[in-house]
Amino acid sequence: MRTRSRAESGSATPDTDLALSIRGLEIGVLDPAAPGGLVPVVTGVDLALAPREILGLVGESGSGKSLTSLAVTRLLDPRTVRVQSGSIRLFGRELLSLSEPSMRAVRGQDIGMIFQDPMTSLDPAFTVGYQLSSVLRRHTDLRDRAVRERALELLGLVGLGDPRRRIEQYPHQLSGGARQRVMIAMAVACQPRVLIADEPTTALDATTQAQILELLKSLADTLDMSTLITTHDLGVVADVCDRVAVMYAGQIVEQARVEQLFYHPKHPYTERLLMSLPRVGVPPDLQGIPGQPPRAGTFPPGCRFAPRCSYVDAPGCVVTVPPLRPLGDERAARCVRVDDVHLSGVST
Amino acid sequence: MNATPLLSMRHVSRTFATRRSVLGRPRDVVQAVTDVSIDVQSGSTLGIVGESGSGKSTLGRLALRVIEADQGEISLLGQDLRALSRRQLRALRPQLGLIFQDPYSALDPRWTVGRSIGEPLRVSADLTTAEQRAAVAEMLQRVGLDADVADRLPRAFSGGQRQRIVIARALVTRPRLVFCDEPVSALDVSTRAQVLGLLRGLQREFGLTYLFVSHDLGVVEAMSDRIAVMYLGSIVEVGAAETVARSYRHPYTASLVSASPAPDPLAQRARRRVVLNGDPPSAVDPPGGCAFHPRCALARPICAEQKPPLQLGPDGHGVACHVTAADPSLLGSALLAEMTAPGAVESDSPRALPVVERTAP
Repeated sequence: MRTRSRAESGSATPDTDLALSIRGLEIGVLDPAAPGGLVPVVTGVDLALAPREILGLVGESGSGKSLTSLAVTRLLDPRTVRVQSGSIRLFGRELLSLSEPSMRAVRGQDIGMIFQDPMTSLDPAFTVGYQLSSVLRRHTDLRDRAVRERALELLGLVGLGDPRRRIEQYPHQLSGGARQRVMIAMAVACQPRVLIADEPTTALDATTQAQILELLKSLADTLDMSTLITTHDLGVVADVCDRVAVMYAGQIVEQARVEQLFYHPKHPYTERLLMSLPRVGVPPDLQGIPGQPPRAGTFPPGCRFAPRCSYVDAPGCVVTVPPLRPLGDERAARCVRVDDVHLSGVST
Repeated sequence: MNATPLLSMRHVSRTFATRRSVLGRPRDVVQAVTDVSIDVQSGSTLGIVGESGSGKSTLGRLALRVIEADQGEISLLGQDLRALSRRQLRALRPQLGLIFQDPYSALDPRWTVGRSIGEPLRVSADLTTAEQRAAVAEMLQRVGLDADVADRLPRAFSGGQRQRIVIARALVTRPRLVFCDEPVSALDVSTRAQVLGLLRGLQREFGLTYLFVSHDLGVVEAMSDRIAVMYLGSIVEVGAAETVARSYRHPYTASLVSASPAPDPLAQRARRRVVLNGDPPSAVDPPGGCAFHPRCALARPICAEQKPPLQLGPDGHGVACHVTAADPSLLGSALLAEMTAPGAVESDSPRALPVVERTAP
């Protein structure tokens, strides 16, 4: 496993040393029927991304993971979603108060983005070369032939064979994996310091997913870049991430280094998620987690996982929201019974 | 293996014509399923695993005659499926069930849950309204939903609950054979295991036979007695689930196993991984010989020339590969090691990128 500097969760690492620092993030979805006109969907999220680190933000649909990562890019649709409060700093620089033109510059140069479906970000009417060149012309001083050379270089960097042919092709002429590589090339064209990858491999086949994950791992090293990956797939996390934060019903319920989380989970939701994964060569546990995740607007008053948790016992489970308690060694869990229940992780 | 199989396919093929160019270029023919032969025993699950475009869903549709085969023989429940008249086919339909991937599009949003589940009965069985309602209520209870949800619309339900409704509808006529087409791919992890467990329980309860299609080898292994691995329209490996998942003998199966993400960081990072060269080839213009050879680390000259036959061993384990047929020691992790030996795979790692000046913000 690679070693790299890591942020201490809850410790006093100055924000300027962190690639990305999110504090107290609250996001609401507009709903005229709700009190205050907003339904809270992300509540009190703190996250720290160290330089060169790959952080996984894992959760099921509706957990708030994608809204959290989109908030960093400030691409949330203002007609439906609103960041209510909090702070998002990029190497110490507050993003939430930036003007839209300044934010556009940040998006092109300091933050790169890739999404689940490459077709939503690629324009079907223009060639790969044209789209890649536009990014380079807008955000760098490169012009003319230098743009084309750089575009070819980038396509080589993301492992696309035969860049000279690829650069003339239209998105529909590419396979899903090749499209995702083009999107990654556009995202890293200006050597961003942070890459936001929202479910980057969910739409891909297993063997293609493996290729793209290898690429993301090596780019983090080659380009000296920090990466925030959102995914619902713990297999992806096990593969590429250094640290992981698990989200459930709008909150982070557990944070840890990857190996700690998988082998010694500290939150019952994490434990059940790990057990639910069918795995090649291992007899399955097909019980899953009883019930359904709560919908936004109907979060239970205490621990939001309590209605589905088999360890519910302490009155603290159902009365007040448990705090995300630091447990030392870079980890934290939002469970009042963290000291008196023993959870099992993945066996090696 | 001696009992008459519930489903038996012999040399079944199906092509699709597609038009690719608006300028009226000639139609291309996609070979979706090529010369597939397979048996499914009553009460068992045959898992079919493969990537998009491998023909796995087409194979399931052919087996239930949702679409027609071009060639081959299909025997289903003792009948010659392809020879049945429309009327005979309609009489057979209640014995066949279908569960789709997307529980959101599978249910009519304007129909109550009860109407959706009861529809197959209305079409096929001669039951009174009260009897239909009773059958729907019983199915709801079997799939773990309250009987009173029958009067509600699908939008009130989450993905996992909707998939339970879809399962209830598929089983309300008490079918013998059920085609599950990626039944949990659209579901979240925590509900996925619930639905798989439910399908297994219902299989035992009703003695169902499943054709279970998925791109996820872990899911297929959890559900199946036997597994068929498909690549570009052909079965490349078939056998008992445990054999295919652990003692695989086809290089494509080996790459699927090595690409399946496991929730185990140390094993995941230590393990040898086959990174396939290039993109999956097009089914319009499949490579000659073994269809996998352009991406295979072990390919020899013969692989480009002759399509390897699926050779079935006495244990029911079948493999279509020239290379492993010649060397019986190449199976499971030994095969994977051979495929990932230094020099076997081209590196996918990027080259260093020269630094470019940024424009001032």
